[in-house]
Amino acid sequence: MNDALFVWAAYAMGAALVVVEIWLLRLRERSIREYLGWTQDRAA
Amino acid sequence: MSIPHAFATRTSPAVRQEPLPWSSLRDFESRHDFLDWIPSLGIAALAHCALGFYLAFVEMPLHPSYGVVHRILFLHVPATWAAAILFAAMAIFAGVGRFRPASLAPMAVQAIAPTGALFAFLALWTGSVWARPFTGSWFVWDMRLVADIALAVLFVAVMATYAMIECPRRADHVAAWIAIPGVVVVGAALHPVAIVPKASSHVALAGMQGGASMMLTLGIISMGLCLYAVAIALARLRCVILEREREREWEARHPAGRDDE
Repeated sequence: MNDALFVWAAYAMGAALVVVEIWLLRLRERSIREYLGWTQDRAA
Repeated sequence: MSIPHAFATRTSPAVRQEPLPWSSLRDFESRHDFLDWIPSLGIAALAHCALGFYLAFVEMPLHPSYGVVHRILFLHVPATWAAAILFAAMAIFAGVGRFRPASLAPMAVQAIAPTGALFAFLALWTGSVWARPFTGSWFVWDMRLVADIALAVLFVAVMATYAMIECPRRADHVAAWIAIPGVVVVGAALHPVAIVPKASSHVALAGMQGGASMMLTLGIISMGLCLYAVAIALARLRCVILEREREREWEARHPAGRDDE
């Protein structure tokens, strides 16, 4: 039982790490785009 | 919500006097064609992972001896392979960057390290989960687990180098001295020695009943993780290029350094 719990916890942690990595990268991208004043560029 | 960047306090777009080499985001992306691959790579990674985990959890029966613990291998082995491949790629880019410091190669080193650290940490953690039922301990001084630790430490060391050293060229130099010798760890991480003797070697598992489909499943998931890593590294490379160019521009306008601010 405990072993199964650790297995699923490991999978959940892997998925969470990927989500956090993508989220942090998007924040980083948005930060530099805002700094450069390029935020409206895509919509133009 | 946005993270206030360290450079954001130096100046603002309204007072920028010397433009970047690119007039707009579209201009920047048009000069870096490889950025167009990011969405395709992301979709391909998602498709590979979905197929691989479907095979692993639906098509593959539970292992008669190891039970559900056996499922952890479908994360542990691809994460280990991805971390090792990423480290090898990082070392190659570091080597190229030694000869061509003005190219994108050193920036690729900076872009790869965080994703490599993520996979190395995942490999280490899942390796512990895999070994625990056999050894009764979360950690044994097994070559593969030690190699996973070493990979994670080296990736974090590269990240720390870029975080601590302000001059990008100097940071590239130090990171190369970490990445290039560290490539010997990759061999240890991929060495087919069992975490626990007798039954738990990846190679032994691959040779058991249904071994061919297990290797195929591991290969598909590994490919998915590698495609994800390439996509995310390219997206991070875009940030690194812009940040370095912005830094160079700021230095050009403030030759006396930060104290004149």
